[in-house]
Amino acid sequence: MTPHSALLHDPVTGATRRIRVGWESAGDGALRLSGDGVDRAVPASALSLAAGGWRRDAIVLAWQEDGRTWAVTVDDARLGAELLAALPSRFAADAARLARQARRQRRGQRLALAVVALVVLLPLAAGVTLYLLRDRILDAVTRRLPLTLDARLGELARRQVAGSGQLIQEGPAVEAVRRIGARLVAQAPAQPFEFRFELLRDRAVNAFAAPGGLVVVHAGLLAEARSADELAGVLAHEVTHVLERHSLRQLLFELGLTTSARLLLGLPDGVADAVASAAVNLGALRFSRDQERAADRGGVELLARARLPATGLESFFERLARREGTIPAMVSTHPPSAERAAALRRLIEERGAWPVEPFPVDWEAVRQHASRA
Amino acid sequence: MAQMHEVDYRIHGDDMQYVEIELDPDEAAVAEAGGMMFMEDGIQMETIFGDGSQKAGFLGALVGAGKRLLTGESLFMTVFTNRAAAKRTVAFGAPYPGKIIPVHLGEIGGELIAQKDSFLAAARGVSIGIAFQKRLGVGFFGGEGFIMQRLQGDGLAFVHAGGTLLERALAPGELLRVDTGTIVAFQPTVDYDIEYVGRIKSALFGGEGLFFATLHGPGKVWLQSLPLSRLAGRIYAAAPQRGGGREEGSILGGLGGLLDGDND
Repeated sequence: MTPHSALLHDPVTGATRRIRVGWESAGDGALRLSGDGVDRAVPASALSLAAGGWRRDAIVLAWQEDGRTWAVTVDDARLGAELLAALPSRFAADAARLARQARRQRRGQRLALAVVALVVLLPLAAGVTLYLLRDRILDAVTRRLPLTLDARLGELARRQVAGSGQLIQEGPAVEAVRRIGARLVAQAPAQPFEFRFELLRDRAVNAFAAPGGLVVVHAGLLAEARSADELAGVLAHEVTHVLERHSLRQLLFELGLTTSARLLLGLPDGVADAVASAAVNLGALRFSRDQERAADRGGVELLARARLPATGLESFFERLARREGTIPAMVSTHPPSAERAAALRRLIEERGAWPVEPFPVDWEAVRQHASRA
Repeated sequence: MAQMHEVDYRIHGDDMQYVEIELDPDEAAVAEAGGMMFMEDGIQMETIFGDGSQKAGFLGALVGAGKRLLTGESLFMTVFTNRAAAKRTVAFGAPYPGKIIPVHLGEIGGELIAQKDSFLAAARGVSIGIAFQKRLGVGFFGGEGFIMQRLQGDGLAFVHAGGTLLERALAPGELLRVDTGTIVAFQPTVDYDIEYVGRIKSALFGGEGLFFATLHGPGKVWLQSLPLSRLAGRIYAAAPQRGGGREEGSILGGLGGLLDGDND
């Protein structure tokens, strides 16, 4: 008789402890149990069989003896099956019922697992779907937003810039910016925005576009640019940002990412929040780099229509690339300048050559003006 | 038996207890991080990843720690080892009013299923793992959730619960209906299930909720008279809200606050 591991309840001591016990048929339908603390042949009439254990996945064999109930609990599924097979034939129906119960319970467990998996995976799937469809969703939502929103946001930005008192009102540099801007805008396909081009007294080599048509160039950029072509390239890029409503899209994206992180991950506090906001930042930056590439592409098209050379934009980035530090591409809002210059060169090649009418301007006077400002 | 550490212990206090464990040289005890009350000189405290029972190296420890994270426990446990040449004592305090129960795992078949958070300390070698309730209904309505603690080994383990403890050995088939949430621990042979209270009126106004937990023998069960959540609920309900105080039935009512001077 092979001893198996099982738990014996001894009604004399009231204790339930683990023992090694063997079982075999003892003839006359009795079951012989032998092990540590139990050694007897139990007549079939005294035996009862049931499912038990705290998860009801064990088999409990109980029998009466002197008015007290003994029980052996087999908590190993394989051993339980062996025990069922060793039982006298009188228990065939009980054994079948237990097997059915076990099957039903396994089904229940699979269901439970599926529910848990669903609860865990559903937000994940929703998140992935949202992320994969983000461009389409953002396009659709942006299209539905009224243009008055652009105008209102643009007005806010304009007041802030004007309020700084740092706008340069007149002079050759302002003239150049406004005239090149006007020439580009005139070539843009029918569009609803009212463009304004401004020059800001600021040393940084930068330019930005607000929703609704406000394009602001920093004086530092004019001082850095070597020709009117380079300025035209930058302006074409910024005008495209406005036309494609990039600021609005970016705003929507950040809003959406923050909201979904909160709803789907259900992260209310502490570390979780920091993780979510880091993801938002990285995601937002990456998104804005896609926008920069789109603006470069649109800018080249605009330059071609305005019969201005695109080589300016390219050479401007090449020069910036040589001066650029070592900020990793992942965490900078713009693609690395070298990469952008290369991409631009490809775009220009794809577009093919176009007739060019250079912009007539005394660039040296513009630079002088911008540098003095 | 060889790898379990036999420890001597004494439990002090009535309703806010602590357990003093006497360690022979090189004996050790494990406890939840943060449970230590005092330790004598010569006892070395070491924080370990996981529950200290795995021998499978880093991956085993990682799995153990991950499971502990699931139960809402700290990722770490603390091992207290007696490095002195003589016996030394370390003590662990219970985190809220209640009783500490010593359980000799070896005497009850080597395994105890306990509500999560109830583990206080154990002899080194006892594994503190988790056990999943696989039955949906019991997991949702049984009052203990889907995750319980599984203490395995043949040494001594200390479990803590709220209020006064009832330890009861159930005979095979013997049934005890208990309020959900009062279960502290049971032997794995106990059939743990739920039962609908039976009448809408009882369900709504009986104050016991929609379900009882049922415990069928054979096996030992431990019940607590005052689950922490119930105590916390009462304290919260009685706590001063919006900065106001609640008097103990003063006939002066709101005026009472004006008359006694020692309130801030």
